[in-house]
Amino acid sequence: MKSSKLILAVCLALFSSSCLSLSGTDLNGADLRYPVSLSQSIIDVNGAHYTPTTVEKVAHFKREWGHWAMFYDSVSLTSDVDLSKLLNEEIERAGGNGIVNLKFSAKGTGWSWLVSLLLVIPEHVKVTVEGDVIKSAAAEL
Amino acid sequence: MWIAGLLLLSAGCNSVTFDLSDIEEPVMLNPMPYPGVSWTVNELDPFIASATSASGGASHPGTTTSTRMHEDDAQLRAFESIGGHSQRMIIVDNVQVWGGGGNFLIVFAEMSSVDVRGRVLEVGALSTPDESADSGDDQ
Repeated sequence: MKSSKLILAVCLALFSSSCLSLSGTDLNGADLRYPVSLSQSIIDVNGAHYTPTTVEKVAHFKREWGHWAMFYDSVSLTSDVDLSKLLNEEIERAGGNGIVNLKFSAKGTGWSWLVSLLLVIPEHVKVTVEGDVIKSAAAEL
Repeated sequence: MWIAGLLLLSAGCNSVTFDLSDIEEPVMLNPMPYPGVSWTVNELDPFIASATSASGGASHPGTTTSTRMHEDDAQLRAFESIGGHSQRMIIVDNVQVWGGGGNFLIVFAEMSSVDVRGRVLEVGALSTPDESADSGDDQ
């Protein structure tokens, strides 16, 4: 009887101290109205590779937001960001017609190990999107 | 002491950037960015790449270790997929940005990651929407 209680206690201790936490968000450019590339070149209107020069880069932008979730990302506490809308806005604000060097960053909170022990604490990831807006004749229809 | 430890761990949180700016071929977020214009494309391979940063150690700040892995993996995979072919490009279908952590007894680990899924395409001739419809291309 004593040993079964001990096993139960050990199991409970293992369960409570072996946990995971997770927060994440999906992004896509399905509704983009301009060419956007993660590399230094884009596809021009003829389907050819085109690398914009530095004089065609009209602006650099950086947007950050946080994504909060609980219970292994099954409950999202923040609404998803529309990446297409965000990038369309950045291009139009800068008066450009495309984006190159688009980068995505993820930054954890530093308390994930604590969140995983106490599931009622929301998990957070900071998402950063940055890139160079270009204005190029090659990116015009 | 415990609070100081928490602050140290929080300050050491990991971050990672998915950066393909060294790639010379297009890695497009939208496959057909010009309305009314499309190209015949031949789908070659799926493209999967990630940039991941992880840190871990025992649950007190003195033994925290930090490890970065796969950060250059994304560049390498893109280089390998395109292979210097001027007619090839990568189309990104989905970007997943996530962070998380876990505990096992006194050992903890934290991770941040950017995962990208897409396709490697070979761009062919320019075609009008009518031609695409006639040929049944999957534009």
